Amino acid sequence: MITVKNLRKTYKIAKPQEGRFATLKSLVRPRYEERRAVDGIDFTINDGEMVGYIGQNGAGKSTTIKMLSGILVPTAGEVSVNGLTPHKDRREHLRGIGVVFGQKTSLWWDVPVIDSLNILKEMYRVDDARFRKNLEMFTDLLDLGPFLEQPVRQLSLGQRVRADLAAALMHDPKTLFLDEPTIGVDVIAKERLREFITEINRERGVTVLLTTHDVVDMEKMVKRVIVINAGQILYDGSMLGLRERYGGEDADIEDIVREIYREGGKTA
Amino acid sequence: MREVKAGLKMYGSLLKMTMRGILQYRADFWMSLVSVSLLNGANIVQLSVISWRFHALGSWQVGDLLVLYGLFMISWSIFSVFFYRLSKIEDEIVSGSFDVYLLRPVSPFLQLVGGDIKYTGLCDTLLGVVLIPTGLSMTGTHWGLWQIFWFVIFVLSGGAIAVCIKFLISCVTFWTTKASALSQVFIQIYLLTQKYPVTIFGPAFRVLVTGLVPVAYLNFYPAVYLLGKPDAPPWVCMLAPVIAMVLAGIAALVWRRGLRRYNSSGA
Amino acid sequence: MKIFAKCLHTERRSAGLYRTDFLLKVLYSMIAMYGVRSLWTALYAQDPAIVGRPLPSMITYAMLAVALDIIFYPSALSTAPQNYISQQVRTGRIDTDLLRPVDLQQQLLARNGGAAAFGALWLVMPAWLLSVLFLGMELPPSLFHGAAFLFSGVLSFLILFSLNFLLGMVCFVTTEIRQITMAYSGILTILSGKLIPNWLYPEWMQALINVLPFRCIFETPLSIYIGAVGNYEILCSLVLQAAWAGILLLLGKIMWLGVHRRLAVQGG
Repeated sequence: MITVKNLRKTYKIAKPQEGRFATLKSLVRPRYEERRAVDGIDFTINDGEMVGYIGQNGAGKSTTIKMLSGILVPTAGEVSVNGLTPHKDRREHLRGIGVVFGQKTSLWWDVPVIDSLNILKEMYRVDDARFRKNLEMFTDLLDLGPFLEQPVRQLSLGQRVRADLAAALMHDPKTLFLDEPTIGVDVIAKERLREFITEINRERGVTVLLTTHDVVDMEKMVKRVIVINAGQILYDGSMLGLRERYGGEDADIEDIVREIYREGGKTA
Repeated sequence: MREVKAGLKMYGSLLKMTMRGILQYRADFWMSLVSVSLLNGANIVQLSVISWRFHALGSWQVGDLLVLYGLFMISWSIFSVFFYRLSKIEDEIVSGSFDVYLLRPVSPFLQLVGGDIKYTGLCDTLLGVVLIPTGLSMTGTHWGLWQIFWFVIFVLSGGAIAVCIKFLISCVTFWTTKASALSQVFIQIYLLTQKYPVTIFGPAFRVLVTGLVPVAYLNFYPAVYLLGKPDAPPWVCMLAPVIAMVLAGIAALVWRRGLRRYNSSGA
Repeated sequence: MKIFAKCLHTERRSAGLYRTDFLLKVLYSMIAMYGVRSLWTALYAQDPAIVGRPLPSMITYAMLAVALDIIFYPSALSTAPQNYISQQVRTGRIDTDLLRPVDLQQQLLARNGGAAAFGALWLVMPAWLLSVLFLGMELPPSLFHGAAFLFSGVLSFLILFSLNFLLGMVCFVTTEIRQITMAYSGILTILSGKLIPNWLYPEWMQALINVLPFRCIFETPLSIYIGAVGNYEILCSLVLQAAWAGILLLLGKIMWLGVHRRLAVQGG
């Protein structure tokens, strides 16, 4: 179970200065401005749920995921994942989650995929029998066989994301965070990723929180969506409800999302 | 104790994997050897020209200068072979791989150190191994067991000092995201102490490289002690291991604070 | 020229953002200047006859070399052509450079020139000024020498730029040039007169150095600045510098055209 209460995260960033003697001015006294990446959000995700987390670039999705996985400490508010506070009970929390960033790999760049998996086995202290069983299953479901012995830098993007997914699941986490897992992947590979994620969620009861820009991802995979804009939640509910609220049953999801973003842009 | 053992085992496994990765770029190996030698070559050429023209630098004869340079290279190579990645925190943060370290239930420090080995650093070791005996035979100095014992102590402390300073500078990234300029300042300092006896740079500089950024303990003080130079009293030289330990303590503290800072800013 | 001005502006802005960076750069040049000053003072005490010039003049030579090195070190500026080209080749984005209507060499020259001009104004100048005030750097013997030095410095930059550009061309053969860059920096350090002036080398090395372009980068402008060469010789060395710059720029252009043709035929 994931619970988030009044979660906030603000960053301080240096501001470039304009005008005459700008260099000198920013050298003598730099100016900062605050940016609220996440501005007071609340939600609860129950065990075994699969939730889509959507929003424009810079809406605060990645920041939320980073706080949920314990990389970032919140400025204010509460986070709890599987009964643990991510940034406090760090190691124990990490053993219970899996994270995949579609944009970057968590595998070792220059070594064969299998070596990466082996070192992760050691890091998470997965016992031999379980490791073998998982490896067999993921190799089968994700078709890892052909590139298990290849170094990660030689993999195509689709293969890399599959390898990353397997790596994130080797230690049987209860919760899975996926940050744009399908980005840049071709249609067929996307289809396979969706099937796999859905299966993991259904068969193993893994809780999944997934960010995406792909409307097909949402339609095919999730029943519930959370829409975030400028650090605040605009909508939290079923996909069905989203349709009803913004344009009727036959409305195109893409149009709906565009509509919501535009609306959010006005209020922000 | 159990944790230390588990840590070492983890480090071993990481290194094994890293080596396998490196072996894939065999063609690079020879090219690296050549270029590292050429880079050191610039220093050697400068030293040779100076010694050919001037024969000495103050009370330091050519042989002394070779020992000085050799000591630096050996201590330094402990950093450049095994701990090189510690100086690259900025790159790790920019490329996003630092986040990945924080996602695994193993100390980020271990993942950082175990993730890289720079075999080209062995050129530095080799150079030192050649330079020191050459220098010693030129000055006609003979080392007994006592000197060899201290040589080992000096190299280990020097290595630790080099690693700690590089690591501390790299940790600055957590606060400014730009540690490269500071690292440049440090490079300028050690480029001076690497080849020349600290004495020629005057007392202020000497205080700087003894107390503040103790690079003089990589080679100057060891050389003074082992060659019996009058530039410093023996007890000051023998402080090397103490300084190494103090620095290691400071580095551990700063690293911990840096991590906490990263957690709150995300850089 | 437009790109040049734009780059100057960009450099100014980013310098503003990294103010500690900027101050530290000046600081480290000061340390290096102090270092060479002490070294030559010690050597001079050893035997003034061998140095061959009065001490203040030798110190000036060595310290000015350090100041120029802030912008003349092969990879000192992030806009240095070999850095840019190797990055583009590695990431496969070099194709986009083929599509632009501007010649790559000119474009890079404008960029690198903008950055160098900024560096000269904001880094070399302060370092020079501070060393005049505190470290005993001499002024050039006459206004003519000063002007000739500036002119010669610009030609030095052109020579360095074209050598760097040629180094960048090597990328198309080997893709990875980090190691070659290191070797190249080593050679440049030895042969450019940056650390040790030409006249202190053994005769056979002087003969070698005289026929290579490297000495034009540091030794020529520095000798002019300290007034080590007469008016007629100044003219000659400026002509020589200009000739080297012309030849090397042309060579770079020819090589780029060759690479361009090959890329267009083979498609990268």
